Amino acid sequence: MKQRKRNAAFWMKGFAWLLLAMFLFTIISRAADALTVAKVSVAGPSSRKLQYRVSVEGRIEKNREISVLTCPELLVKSIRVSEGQRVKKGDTLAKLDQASIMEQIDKLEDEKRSLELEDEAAEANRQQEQKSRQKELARAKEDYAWLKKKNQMALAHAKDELEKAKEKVKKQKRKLNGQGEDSVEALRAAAEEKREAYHALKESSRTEERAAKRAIEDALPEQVSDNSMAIHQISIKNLNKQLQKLLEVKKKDGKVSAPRDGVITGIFAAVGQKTADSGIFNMTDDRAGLRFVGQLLAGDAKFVSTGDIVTIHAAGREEEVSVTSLEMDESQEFIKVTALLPAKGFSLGETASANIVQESENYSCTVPLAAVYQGDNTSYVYLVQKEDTILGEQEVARKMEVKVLEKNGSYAALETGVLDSESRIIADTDRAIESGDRVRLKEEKG
Amino acid sequence: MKKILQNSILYLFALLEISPLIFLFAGTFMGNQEVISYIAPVLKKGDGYASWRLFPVFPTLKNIAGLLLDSPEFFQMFWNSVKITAAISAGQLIFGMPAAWGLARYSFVGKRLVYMLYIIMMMMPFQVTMLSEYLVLDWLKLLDTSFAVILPGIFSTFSVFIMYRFFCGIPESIIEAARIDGAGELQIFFRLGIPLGASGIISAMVLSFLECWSMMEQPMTFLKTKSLWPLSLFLPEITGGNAGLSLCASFVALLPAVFIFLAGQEYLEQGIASSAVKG
Repeated sequence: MKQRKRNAAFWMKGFAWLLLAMFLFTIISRAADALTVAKVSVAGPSSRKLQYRVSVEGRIEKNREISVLTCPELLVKSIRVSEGQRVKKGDTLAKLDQASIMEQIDKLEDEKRSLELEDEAAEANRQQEQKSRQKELARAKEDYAWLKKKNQMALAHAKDELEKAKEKVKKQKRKLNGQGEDSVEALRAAAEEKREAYHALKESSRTEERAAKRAIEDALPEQVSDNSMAIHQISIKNLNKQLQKLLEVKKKDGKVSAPRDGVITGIFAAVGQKTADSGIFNMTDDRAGLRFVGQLLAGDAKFVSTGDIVTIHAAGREEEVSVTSLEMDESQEFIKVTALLPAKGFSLGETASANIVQESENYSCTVPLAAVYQGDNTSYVYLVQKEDTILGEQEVARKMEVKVLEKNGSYAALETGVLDSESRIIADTDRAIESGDRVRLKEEKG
Repeated sequence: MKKILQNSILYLFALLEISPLIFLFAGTFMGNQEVISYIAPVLKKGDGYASWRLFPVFPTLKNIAGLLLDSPEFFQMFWNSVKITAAISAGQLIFGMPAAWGLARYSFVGKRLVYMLYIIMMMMPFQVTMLSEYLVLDWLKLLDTSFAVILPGIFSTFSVFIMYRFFCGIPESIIEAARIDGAGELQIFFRLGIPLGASGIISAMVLSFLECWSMMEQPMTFLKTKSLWPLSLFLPEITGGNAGLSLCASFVALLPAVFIFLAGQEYLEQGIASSAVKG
């Protein structure tokens, strides 16, 4: 009996130890489970417009650059400004040497004078030649008239002789009445000679008159194409303009002034050297303002259109302006975005960024983009559902296929009908989850 | 020689009888892949017949560690089983023991009828009384609560029957002597009945424990909420992913029953013997 009780007590102790061990393992497995269950944060579908925010990095550039011109070949005496310096209209940028101005004026006047003299000489020669031509023409016409008259008289005489010979032949024929044919034949030969003489004279007259006509044509004045004088006139006109400019420079004591308010962006002259044909300064024009120029990835081009409002940020300042132009670069990878800025408030050359915001249509069902997963040609979200499990009512992740209509960097618009306003969509999880996994909601902070 | 032959035959049959336990024990220390390779035909993932090994090719404690450290569901169901079994056992002690004493020691009108009803109820399988139990529990609004399983278990007839047999075995002369000495009926029950019928009571409790620990139909029928399910319903489908874990869980689930059985083994034998001569 005692042995039986001892055995029973032994095994009951074992049973008690087993229960104790199971209790400990229960706690351990619960603790381990708490560590392995994914912690998720949920979000419900909401109605919103998807915003596309694109940031474009770029620089502030001048919108328009003007060149400050002066006359070439003038010696630069001093330069009063430096590159990047802001100047006002009328400020002296440089001073030119007066002596070189005078020298240049003299040189141009000499050139002008020599051209004028050349023109005068050419005009005199032309008039002389014209007179000579007129004289030759008059003589040719006179020769032609005389020759024509002389030939008419000779032809009339030869024709008269021919008629007389023909009359003699007729008279002799009537007189002999078929007898004495020899004497008629002789008269007929004489008449034939007269005919030939007449025709020869007619031919020679014609040849002589043709020669006389050609002499008249040769004596007529020729239309010679000579534009040298017109060219000289143009040159003189240009010289006059240059002289005018030089005189103006001289009048300003050789000072070169800023034509507008702006910033000097380039100096192309040096003290002690002569000015060139091109401008000696480049500068911005404040009236035209500044502009933002940045590069945007070609793939983001769909988010920007000409006329869109962008916010330009630079050194703590910001300005809302509209996009002026979009140009694809040669590589087809970037798009040059340009937006005009007011002249005040921004500094030329500083870096800036343009934030472009574009909104889609209003979607009634949008979820955080992180909540949407991609499968094989399908998109899906995980919903948190309360389910009865062995451990009681637990939050369980369930996969739900959805159709993504549009998405930006933060949200995705889904086709309506799949999710309702009560749906709890897993927007964030601290580990990978699968459909059916238990999940734990993250505690809300604050 | 004859005895050796007899013993050999008996040991052979005994070995066959406990072979599932041996396989279960071996499977507890097998890796998942090894288990699957043996039972692939059962899982319809292979041809031929399932096979088994007494010793794992690559023994591992991974399944035990996974079960004990990473399966809170298992423990939830384990404690559900403990709760249900303890409640039923306690209830049987409170209600079954006096009932058995009354039936065994007192004469009253209709005693035979009551006894017959007990016998009939004991003989009926659960499937027969399932619907009526369901309707009663529904009426009591106890469905899908632990009481839906505990309450019918408390009033189980089998334990009353076993205790009744033991109480009947107490000599009437001892009871009469106690009465002559001035003992009241409660004193007789507590001072004589329980100590003298302790073997039967323990035997009934052991049998009740084993029955409740492996109870399946009642929880499946009356409990919808999974968090109330006992360990006997921890029947994860044996698939490629959890075959090893399932074997391990079965092994661990077996342990309390083994401890209780060993603790009450000798009483149990008496109880079985007692029930064998019932009627």
